[in-house]
Amino acid sequence: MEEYRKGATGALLDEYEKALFELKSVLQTVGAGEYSQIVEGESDHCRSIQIIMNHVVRAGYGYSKYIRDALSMDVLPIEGKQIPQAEIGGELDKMFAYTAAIFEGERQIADEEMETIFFKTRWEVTYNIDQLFEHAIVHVLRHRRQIKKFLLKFQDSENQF
Amino acid sequence: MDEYERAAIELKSIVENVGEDDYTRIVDTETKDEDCRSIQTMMNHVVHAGYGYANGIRRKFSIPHEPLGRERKQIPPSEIGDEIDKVLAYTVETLDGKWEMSYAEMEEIIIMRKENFSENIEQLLEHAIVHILRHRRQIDKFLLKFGAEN
Repeated sequence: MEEYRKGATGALLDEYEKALFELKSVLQTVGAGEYSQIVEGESDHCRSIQIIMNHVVRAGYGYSKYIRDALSMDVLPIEGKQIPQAEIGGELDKMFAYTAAIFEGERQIADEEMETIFFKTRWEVTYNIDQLFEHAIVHVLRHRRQIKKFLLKFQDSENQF
Repeated sequence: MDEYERAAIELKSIVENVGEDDYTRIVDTETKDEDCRSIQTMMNHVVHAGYGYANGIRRKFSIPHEPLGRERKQIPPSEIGDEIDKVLAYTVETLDGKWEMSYAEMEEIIIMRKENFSENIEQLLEHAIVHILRHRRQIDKFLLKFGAEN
């Protein structure tokens, strides 16, 4: 029972960690050529697995920044890093640790605050903390799915030759 | 929807393998939340909520729907898998013809989820997915507890 975090925020952190773990498992099956391979017809931030993963890490820090700002906590500047494939697992772990620290630090966040503290994002949508956290989890799920689709596409085009 | 379905299938694979005694066993006698007393009450709640999310979207698009009311349908353990499939099919039918909606379009569609609380359709669907993830985790915890007690 010890591996489960406590409370409503604990549940969200557990599911975020699970989603990231599943994403990392998929990434472990990606070859070096596939990681940087450009997929035509995709939007700019999703043209290769590498670009997607740079985006996922950056977005993760971005979600944390919104929450930290809303709670008047310290914030790190967000860097648009080009992450080598060998370092992506570690970078995801660091991003998750930065998020978990919001809820596992000295500042106690009441369940009520998760639903009553609202802020507007860069894309002009208003979220409370709970909603943004849900968005962060599903963001990881969506990109894991997209990477799996890319891998299937790579496999199909290989089978044609 | 793919991720909603994936979350539901994972939940289904867990609850379909729960023995009848464990399924109905009261875990938390003190909770004020009636939905969280047992795996059965939780699953009744998950199915009910799934219809609620879909109905919110149906109301917005003037698609016919059956008002749910507050009462939870009491689902026997042997029927829970089928009930999960039905609520997924109902949601797919709700979203039929809307698969190509852009994020900008989704953000414009505002749905009342509860009194004094509205959100856009993307936020509602994200909530629906994470709602299932949260309850799958809670059921996992219940099952670990049962395992430790037996």
